[in-house]
Amino acid sequence: MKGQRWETRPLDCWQLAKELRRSYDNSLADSSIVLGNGTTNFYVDWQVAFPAIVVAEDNPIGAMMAQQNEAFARKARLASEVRGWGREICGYHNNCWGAQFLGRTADGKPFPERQFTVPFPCVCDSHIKRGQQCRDYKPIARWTNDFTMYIGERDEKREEAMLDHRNFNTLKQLNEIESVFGQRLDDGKLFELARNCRLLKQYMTNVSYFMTFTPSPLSVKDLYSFFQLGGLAKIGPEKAVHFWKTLRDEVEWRVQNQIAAVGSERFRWIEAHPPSWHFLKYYRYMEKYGAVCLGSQYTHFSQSQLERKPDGSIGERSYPVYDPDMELTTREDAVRFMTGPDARAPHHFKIDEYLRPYALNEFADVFHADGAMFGLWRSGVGCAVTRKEQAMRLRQAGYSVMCYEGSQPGDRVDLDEKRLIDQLDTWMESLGLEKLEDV
Amino acid sequence: MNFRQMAADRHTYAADWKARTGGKVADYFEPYFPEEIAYAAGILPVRVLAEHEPDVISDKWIYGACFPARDMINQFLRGRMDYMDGLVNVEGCQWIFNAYEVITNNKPALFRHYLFLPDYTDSTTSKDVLRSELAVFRERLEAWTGRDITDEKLDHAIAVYNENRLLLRRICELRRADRPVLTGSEYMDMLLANQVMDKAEMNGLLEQFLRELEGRQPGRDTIRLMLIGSETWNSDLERLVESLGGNVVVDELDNGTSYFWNPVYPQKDRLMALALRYLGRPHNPVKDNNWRRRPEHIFELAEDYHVDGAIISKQIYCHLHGTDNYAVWRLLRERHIPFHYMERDMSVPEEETALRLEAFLNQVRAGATRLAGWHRKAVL
Amino acid sequence: MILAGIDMGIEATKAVVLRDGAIIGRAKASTGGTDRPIQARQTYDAALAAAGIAAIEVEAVSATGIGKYDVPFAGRRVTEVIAAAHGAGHLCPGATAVMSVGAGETLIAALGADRLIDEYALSQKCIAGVGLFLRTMADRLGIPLDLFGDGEAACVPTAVSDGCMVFAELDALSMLNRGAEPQTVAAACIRAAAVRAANTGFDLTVPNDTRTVLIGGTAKNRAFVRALEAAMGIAFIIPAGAEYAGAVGAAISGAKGLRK
Repeated sequence: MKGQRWETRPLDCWQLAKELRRSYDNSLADSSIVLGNGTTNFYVDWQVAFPAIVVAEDNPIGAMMAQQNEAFARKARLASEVRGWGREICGYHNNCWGAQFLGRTADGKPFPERQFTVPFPCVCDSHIKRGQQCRDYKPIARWTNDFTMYIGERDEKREEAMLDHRNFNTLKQLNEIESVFGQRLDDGKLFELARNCRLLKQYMTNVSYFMTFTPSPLSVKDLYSFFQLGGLAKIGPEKAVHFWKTLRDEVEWRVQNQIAAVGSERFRWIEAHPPSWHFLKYYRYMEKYGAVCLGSQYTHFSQSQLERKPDGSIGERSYPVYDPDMELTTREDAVRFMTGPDARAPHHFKIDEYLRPYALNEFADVFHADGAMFGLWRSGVGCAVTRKEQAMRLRQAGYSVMCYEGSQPGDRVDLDEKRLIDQLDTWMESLGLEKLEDV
Repeated sequence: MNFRQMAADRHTYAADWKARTGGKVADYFEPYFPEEIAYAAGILPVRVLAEHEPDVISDKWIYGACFPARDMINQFLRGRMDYMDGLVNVEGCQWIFNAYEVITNNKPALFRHYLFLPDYTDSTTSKDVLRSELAVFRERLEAWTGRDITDEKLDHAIAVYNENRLLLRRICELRRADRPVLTGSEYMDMLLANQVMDKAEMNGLLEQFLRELEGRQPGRDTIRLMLIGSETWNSDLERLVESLGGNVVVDELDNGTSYFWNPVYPQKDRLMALALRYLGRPHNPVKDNNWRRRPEHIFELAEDYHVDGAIISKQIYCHLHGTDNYAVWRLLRERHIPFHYMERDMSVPEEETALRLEAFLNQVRAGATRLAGWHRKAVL
Repeated sequence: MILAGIDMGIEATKAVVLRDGAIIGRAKASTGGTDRPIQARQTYDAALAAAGIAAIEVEAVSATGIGKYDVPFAGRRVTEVIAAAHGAGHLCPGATAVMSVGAGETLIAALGADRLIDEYALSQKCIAGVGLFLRTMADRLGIPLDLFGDGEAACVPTAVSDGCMVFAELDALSMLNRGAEPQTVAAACIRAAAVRAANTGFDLTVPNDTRTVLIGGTAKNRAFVRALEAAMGIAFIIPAGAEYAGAVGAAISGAKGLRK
């Protein structure tokens, strides 16, 4: 390879990942399960503790639809639009609920209607409203919770009522799901999930930490592939823990032996959130310049949090999101564990708008980035919020930042792919970098 | 009584008020702001009114936002609000939150506070968390103003605000008449002035206005319309409707009827009384996300004010109203209430909007109603 | 050294031929919609004819603009920002920034001391189509584009939405239907377009100073330039033949490569 500076080789873990992927049954239309809409919990995927409950989030479904069958996705969005949905709404959940209105999925099968909704509590407006679409369509069981937040330094006293609110509503949710659907929640499994969660978080944080090294042992593409396996409901907690431990060990070895994700690495860049899923090849394109993407707040902060310590070292962010030694004997204990002691957890990068414009400065510093690329999503309010200011703050700190308008999560044609490639060329050329094949 | 001019003169009024009273002015965005607590601290709560002005500022700071949020940033960063002492954000939508963050980051001298008001308004514990937040807010205001917010002061503030709501409600009730004595634009101008002035002073003006209205002759016979959708900051749309032979006789707007609809029911725990009031008011889309109350509330208003049709006016890039549209359209279609849906920004293109509304009014005049449900085949 | 550059924009295709850095021939034509490769060739041939040379004498042909991939005979393709930077630096030595407001895109770049570009910004969708909007409105109002927004009637203060050129057009047509003078409407459109374009300019974190070169077709409209200067608080340098600057920059890129 031209410009190669480090050895590169595929991950040994891929084989394990593929085996795990094969074992996962993708079907949501299984009539023996009770299908719900929404998300469970960032740390403890409580659906696993029920005998036959699956909670599916609309975002990934909508994303896959846009990526796999754009024509159907457009029909779905039209079906939503004629029923009143604004065109400028999150395209992913527009895709999913539009398919609901059409009554079928892209492959012609009946749309798997949800029997309950537990929407993802988040500051993002679209997330808050998501859970309503299936509930407005037909009366189904629904639960809600809040994403509690405030601005400024942590105030534990202020958080007491917030945590009680969240804990009560989670407890209510779990108990009522039991009685509504006649399925017993296995508390023992719940406690085991909580214990596994600690290990998973540790391994994920380790992997993030190793990506701060030069050369980076992984690129963000790798992390996105592993996300699919992160869902414990799909592969089971033991397998998930085993996988991430194996991955962590291998990545550590790669760092020790300077095995790179991109052998020609000479430019490190970060993002802010997921990319346009149908155009992931821009990562490959950037590799022509020896540029490697280290990920985003979404990839790293969702799963782990790193920060620079006062002594200059990089380590796990110091706020506690759960007490790893917390004794779990009751369901309430498990719920408190899930919520954690910090009312604003886990999405600090999203919720503290005062820090958010500067949060990426620390992120860029910790990951030793040279630049950042931000997608501006016209219909993704949670993604677009503060993005311009973040770009400005990074530029002020000396990083090179490129912004582009993309499709995620709107219509695929919202992304002008040629223009994006041009912008990538401009960005790289403006920094004096040529494509390695041209050198 | 020129309420429109009062709203236009709000900056001067606020500066004058400060000079007269020695008090502070705190702006807010969302009508969920617990004004009573601020008022009890001797603060004048003022709703930020968005406008349309050439904007070379906000694009640098914010992307994809609705135009009101952009305009608010524009106004603040241009210094239009430099007389203001504080800015409070009650948890609402993210565009306003982003505007709040940009403004306060650029104006560090402002007192600022983020008040968490649950989006899940009807949980058993929602009132407790809001009460806790109101207690925190009270402490912060006390520290800022150097004044104790005693129960007596709260009682007084609650009384003033309840009186204000009652007066607005009485004026609103007059619009139930077949030929209302006030137009939709008059009503909206009054509401906007009400949201930028001292309530005690405003109550006097409202009493005067009410007497004037009670002495008026019945108004024109017009097509009765309901206005639903995004918050408004002027009465342009109402005036356009009136020029076409219609009249907005009721609304379901966050800054409209929802703002004053329900009072505080005094109780010993004043903060809990306030918490229950704000959690129990008619909700905007951000807060109406568990027990679906908004559609039925819209229908009740439509019935009570026997509207002929509805106009749904949504700010472009508003994700919340856009997501709620489905439930609102469905309700209106099922109940055979004709409606016209339009998107807008901070300017109203008069000719284009007039064309649309004229067509809608002609449809209503002819007695057309929506068919029950809709045809799915047209979509596939 | 003889170099050629083609700038194929949404509206217009421009071609220049340089000998040792001096423009010896140039041509411009409407890009059209479908036969872009043919249009590119014809415009290039016209520039060669104006220069009095044959194609074989040209050492490098480079293309830029949105249609650069439709110039099959170009040996090199240059992004618009790079071409603008080279063009501005060549036409106005000592320039510290370049801004281009074209039919489709608006860009601004701060030129560097140690490298070609220190920082740049491109228009987003809500700023797209400024030039196209002005042309459309000029055609609709029956005013020549270079006089659009000028004159006494233009001084009447009025405004259209500046959030987006589509919104602006709706407002403008409303004004017209209510009897506003065409130049009054034109002036409102000009101001809205300038506000939109200025928003791209303000994305830069480095400060602008008075050595900012303005290129692109809209630089020919006096009213727009005045409005943009007022919105951005700077006085532009507008070189002769500003609309050819992109083509000049592309040509120069052919020889210089990517580093100054």
